[in-house]
Amino acid sequence: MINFYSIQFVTFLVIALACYYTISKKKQWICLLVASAVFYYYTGVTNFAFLLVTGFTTWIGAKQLSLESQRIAELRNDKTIDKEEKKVKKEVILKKRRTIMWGVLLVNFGVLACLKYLEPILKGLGVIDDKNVLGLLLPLGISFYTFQSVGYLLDIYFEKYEAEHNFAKYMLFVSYFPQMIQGPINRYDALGTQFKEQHVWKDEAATKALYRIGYGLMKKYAIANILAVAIAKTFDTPATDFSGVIVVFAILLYSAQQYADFSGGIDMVLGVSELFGIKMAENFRQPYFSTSLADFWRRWHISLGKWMRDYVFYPFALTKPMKKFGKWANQKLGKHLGRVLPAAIGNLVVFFIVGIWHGAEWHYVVWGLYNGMVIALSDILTPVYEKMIKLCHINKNAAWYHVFQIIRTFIVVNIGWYFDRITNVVVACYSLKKSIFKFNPGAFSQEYAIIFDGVKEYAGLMAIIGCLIVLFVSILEENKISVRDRLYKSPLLIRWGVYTFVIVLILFSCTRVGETGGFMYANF
Amino acid sequence: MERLIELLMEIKEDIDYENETALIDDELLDSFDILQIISAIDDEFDVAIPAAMIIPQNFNSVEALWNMVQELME
Repeated sequence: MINFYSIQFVTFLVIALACYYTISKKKQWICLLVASAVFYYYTGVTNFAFLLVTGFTTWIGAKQLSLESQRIAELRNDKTIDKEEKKVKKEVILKKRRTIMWGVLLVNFGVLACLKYLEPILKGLGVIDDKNVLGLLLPLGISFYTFQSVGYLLDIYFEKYEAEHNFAKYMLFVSYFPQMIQGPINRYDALGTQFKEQHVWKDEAATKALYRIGYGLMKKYAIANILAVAIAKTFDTPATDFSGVIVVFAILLYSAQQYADFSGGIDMVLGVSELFGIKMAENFRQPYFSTSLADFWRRWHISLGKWMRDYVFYPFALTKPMKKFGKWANQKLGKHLGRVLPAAIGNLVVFFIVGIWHGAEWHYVVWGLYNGMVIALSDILTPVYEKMIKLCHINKNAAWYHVFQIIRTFIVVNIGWYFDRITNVVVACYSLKKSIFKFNPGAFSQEYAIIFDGVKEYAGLMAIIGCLIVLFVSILEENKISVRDRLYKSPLLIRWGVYTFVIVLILFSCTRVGETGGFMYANF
Repeated sequence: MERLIELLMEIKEDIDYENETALIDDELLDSFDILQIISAIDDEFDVAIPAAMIIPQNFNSVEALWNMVQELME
């Protein structure tokens, strides 16, 4: 497999870029398709089969759906048949459309579910044991490209835009190499159209793309990789019973590691894509500045959240039984509950799915449901909060209240991380209990030395510098200041000062940890 | 359309619905609000908005919303 930060990948990228900008502009998409095929080939030939099955079924399914839509339109304009007959014929077509849509969904989610969950389920049932595993390996990016292709199919089913007739062009949308490692989950109407445009090399855009790649590398090396070691020592060595203070500290480190790893990786792939003049979907928007958990999920893994909203939340909440339930609640429980309860239930369903999407393990289910419950409850209890705020004479627009909301949300998010990072629900609960009742701050320095044992000198300092840079950049971005634009326009001396500093930081950080490790969100 | 604005005010009051044209793009309304709007429209005008019509263009302004409701009423 081509590692994203290897000399092979850089060579591959340079060759791909050279071809892309020298061949005829009308054939640029073919260059990207070939590059994506080469990239994917190195992940394993059998993976191609899975990719083609998803690509072909969603493409042919969408094409068929759009043909059926055309038939409905023709039927509408047909003056030779009466209204009743039209109604019967339309019902037949609609039924066919539903069958096609569900058929393609079943094939694609069936494959994904088998690869992801068959082994853990069989293990759980005791059918197989650790020695006798099936050895099913997840093809690179299967979750991401499956979600992306299914999103396209559903858009065509909902008649949001025209279906793509060219299979090769559609396959580029499915297999575009920058998105294969850890997303983002792109939309056809945003990404597919860009492949059809002609792209000219622009120095400014390329420089800014390199800034983004550099920033991503810094997050990955100076923060994520360094912190990963200490976090693993805290949570993956059950023999040591750490004090609450170290557990809390390690969870805070995990907050930083998880964000640096995932958003850093996304910065890199978005930057790589920008080198080709292609803008992919953004996945993060300063999530730790969120003022509520719902707000957090609009800023963290944005492309997954939007996918869930459009293809699970709305369709589920607008099903007949849910609408009926809403009406019933409206009559029996009052206007407020009648309106929020259906959304709250839809939200729980979404977070249950997000939970198991992360893995077929109980702790992910708990983590997902925790998020869903907190959001649902805060919505249900809104009138209570409003009353409390009025009673206490709190000015909701005051700066201190905004800061309070950010800190409160950060704590709520971090409680969730216990169940994300600690792989055993009982241990996670125990750790949470320790964090409150066995905080024991006196043990900090001694236990800190244990978890950072084996990490080379100055590693912690690198992580602190890295985090401060991310905080600084985030504050600027939150205030709508584009750091990349600012840097690009600054004097030569400052620019080169920043370049040198970041490069030295990355290189020095590399020497501080033994192994680099892949991305946390790869192989989903 | 006035009745529609009244409905919206009941759901979220601190928005200038008459002049706002980026209710979704500027994230003034979230998905919970949208579900509430859909259910209120269903009660008031007896039209069912399908999931397929929940796109920003249909929810960015009162006018867009009103056009969608009228289209569905036909």
